Amino acid sequence: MISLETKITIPETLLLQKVDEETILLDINTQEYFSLNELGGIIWELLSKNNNLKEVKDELLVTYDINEKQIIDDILNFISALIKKGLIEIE
Amino acid sequence: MMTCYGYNIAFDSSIDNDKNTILIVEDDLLTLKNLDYKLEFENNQNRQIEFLSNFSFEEKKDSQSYYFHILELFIFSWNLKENKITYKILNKNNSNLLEYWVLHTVLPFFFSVKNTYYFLHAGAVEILDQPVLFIADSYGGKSTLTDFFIKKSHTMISDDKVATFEKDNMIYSVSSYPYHRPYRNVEDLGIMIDNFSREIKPINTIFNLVKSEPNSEVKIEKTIGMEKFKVLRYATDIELPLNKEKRFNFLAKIANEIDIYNITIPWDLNRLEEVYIHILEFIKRKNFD
Repeated sequence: MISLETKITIPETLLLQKVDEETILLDINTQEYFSLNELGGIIWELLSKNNNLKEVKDELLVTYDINEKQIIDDILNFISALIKKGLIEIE
Repeated sequence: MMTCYGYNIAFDSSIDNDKNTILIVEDDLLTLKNLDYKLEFENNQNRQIEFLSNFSFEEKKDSQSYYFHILELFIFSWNLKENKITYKILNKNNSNLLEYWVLHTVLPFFFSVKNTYYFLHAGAVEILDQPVLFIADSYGGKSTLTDFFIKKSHTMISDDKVATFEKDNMIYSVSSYPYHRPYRNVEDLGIMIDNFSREIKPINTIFNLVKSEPNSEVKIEKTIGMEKFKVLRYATDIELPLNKEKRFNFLAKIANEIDIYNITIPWDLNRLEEVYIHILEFIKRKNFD
């Protein structure tokens, strides 16, 4: 079960670039690439700086005018999708 | 001596080596011993190719050497420090293929390993003095359209491999070699072209040719974001497991700096003139805006 306490590890083999307004994630091992939506791109950037989901949530709350429950759902859905694709690992 | 990919290419060991010249020198002592790292390629010239090194491809050591082995034909070798490629002919009956392999395949590998250029599988010509690239799926009309522009007296930049690099946030194209092959013979450089670009210029536009029904309309539509990135990934000519991060960053840079358009190409040779006029008018309007 994933929660805001879950520790995330982003592998060094994942690279991120922005093309126009879209965020593109490349797994250099498999050469697969993925497009992240706007919120996904922002969460990823915050995660790269600090892999603590609770702090990601706090930072999003300060920057965006969205209610807390919605932000938590969005973060956890995004993390679940990344885990399902095998892109990130949880400790 | 011939200028290819922005360098003088000298098949003559008596010529002095300088930073603008790449020497191609025969060395009968070349062997493939003690090379623990190997990649294999099925090449579209019906040849088997091995790319080897004495260290992992992920590493870049001063003493690292790279070997490009075309089975039963040639061995080529180079290192990261020198502007020199040595070769050994494995089958003297086919020594006439040396120039083809050096210009068409070995030099693009050489420059990719050194990270000098990023190669796109594209035809390229000048339109209103600026480089315009055509990329497409296999048999997608790239060569036919490039040929049509050449026949209309547009300066050729490349028949099918375009070397690109970035400088000051601009993406430049570098001319490949002055040959054009408007037919599909294997191991053949094609016909020598006089109207060949010798200048390095920023790329104006990339067109992605979309094969369409013979009666379809010629339409040009801008691509953005992931779609643009996919087009460029597909057009990447040499994919090697080295400089991965730099190469990804560069591809994103091209996607961000150059306009890429899908253009529908009606599959009817009689309508090529119409496609030509569409492209010409489009570039004129784009430059004017």
